[in-house]
Amino acid sequence: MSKPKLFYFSIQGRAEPIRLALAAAGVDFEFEAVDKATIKSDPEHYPFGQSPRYVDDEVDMVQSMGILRHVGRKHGLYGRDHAEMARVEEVIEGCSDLVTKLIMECMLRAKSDPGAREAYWTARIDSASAGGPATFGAHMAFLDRLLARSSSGYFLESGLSVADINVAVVMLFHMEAFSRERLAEQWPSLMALHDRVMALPRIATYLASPMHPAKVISG
Amino acid sequence: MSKPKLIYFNIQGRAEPIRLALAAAGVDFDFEVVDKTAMKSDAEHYPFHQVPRYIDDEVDMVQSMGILRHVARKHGLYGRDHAEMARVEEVIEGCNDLYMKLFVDCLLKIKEDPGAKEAYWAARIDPASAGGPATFGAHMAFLGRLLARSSSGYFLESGLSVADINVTVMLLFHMEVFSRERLAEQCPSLMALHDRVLALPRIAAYLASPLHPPNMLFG
Repeated sequence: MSKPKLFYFSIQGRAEPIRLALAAAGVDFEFEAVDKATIKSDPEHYPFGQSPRYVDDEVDMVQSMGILRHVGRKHGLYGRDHAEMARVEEVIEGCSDLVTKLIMECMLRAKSDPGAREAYWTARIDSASAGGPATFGAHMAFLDRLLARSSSGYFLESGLSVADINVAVVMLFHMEAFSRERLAEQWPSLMALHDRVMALPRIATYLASPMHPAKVISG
Repeated sequence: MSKPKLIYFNIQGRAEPIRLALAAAGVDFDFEVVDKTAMKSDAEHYPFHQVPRYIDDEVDMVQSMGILRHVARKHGLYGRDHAEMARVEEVIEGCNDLYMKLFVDCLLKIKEDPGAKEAYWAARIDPASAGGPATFGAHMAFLGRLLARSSSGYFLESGLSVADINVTVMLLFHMEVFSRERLAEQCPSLMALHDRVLALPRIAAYLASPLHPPNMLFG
């Protein structure tokens, strides 16, 4: 086996952090589009009936955030020691909570409830809700605060990690529902991180390549 | 600092996998009931205003599954190589999906919708749904299949890891809603794993100790 291979739908979606991490690490990879019929009928390779799936010289695995951690570990984007890895974990887990809320409370609900988008903005994005009573307050505020602890411009003092990549994609997902300007006004440093990551030479090259799917969410 | 410290509510809840992992690894730890006011106002120590929080000689961190991975990495419960770590990731991520579904589709709805319990069972536990159209099929069946790939009785050939501990607690959560007998009938190998883990000498000693909270969900 020469190059690693990524299997997913032909969208950015939940595989985009993986693609960006591979690009940032300078790892050439292949992509193969799958469809629902394939992933539902092959439990040996798709044990949860889901994609992405990632195959390299060490693994044949599923679960997007598991794959991201594997790629991060293997290719030097996961932090240098346990303390840095802990920071990466906090960000990845915090992002997972937020992406779940975005999909459930905003995007899916907006189909039947026109007020869902603004309700989501108020509860999760608006900086004023950061002190609110709900356990899941304004997660963007929390991520912003974690970013501010570092002086490197990335979550880790030592530089780029999959934490930054994951947050860049979280901002991308949110730009499917809210304008860039509106998000940047609330969370300028998170948007600046998004821009910084996307402007890294290897990532910019990937974004201009055919490997980068045109659509974020629906193919 | 001598012993690590875990801060949480006085329930098993989202901290129980961490407690079990520390016990399994033979790591003595202190437990402190969280000051709810501090949790909501002290953004430096509770960046997401959530618990558990875990402090040792290397980290002061939050996010239950991030803490679990840190403890696993540090104390030898995360697998021996990238391939084993990938297996652990698949199980942890698969369990997370199921926890979310249990809470959202079942536990939160039960009060208003008595049919929610059986609807959840049909969609997530009943193996007949494993071939179903939903992305989140019968996760218990998927986890059972992953366990069957190993001959050790644990998810990894090399033995106990936080994958086994996480699935054990996931079953414990389900036993708050469904009887042990019913779950054991549907997922006998997972229930056997649960029994095997809880019978390990260090874990059994922890379960008999004052560090083990009596209640799963409500203190």
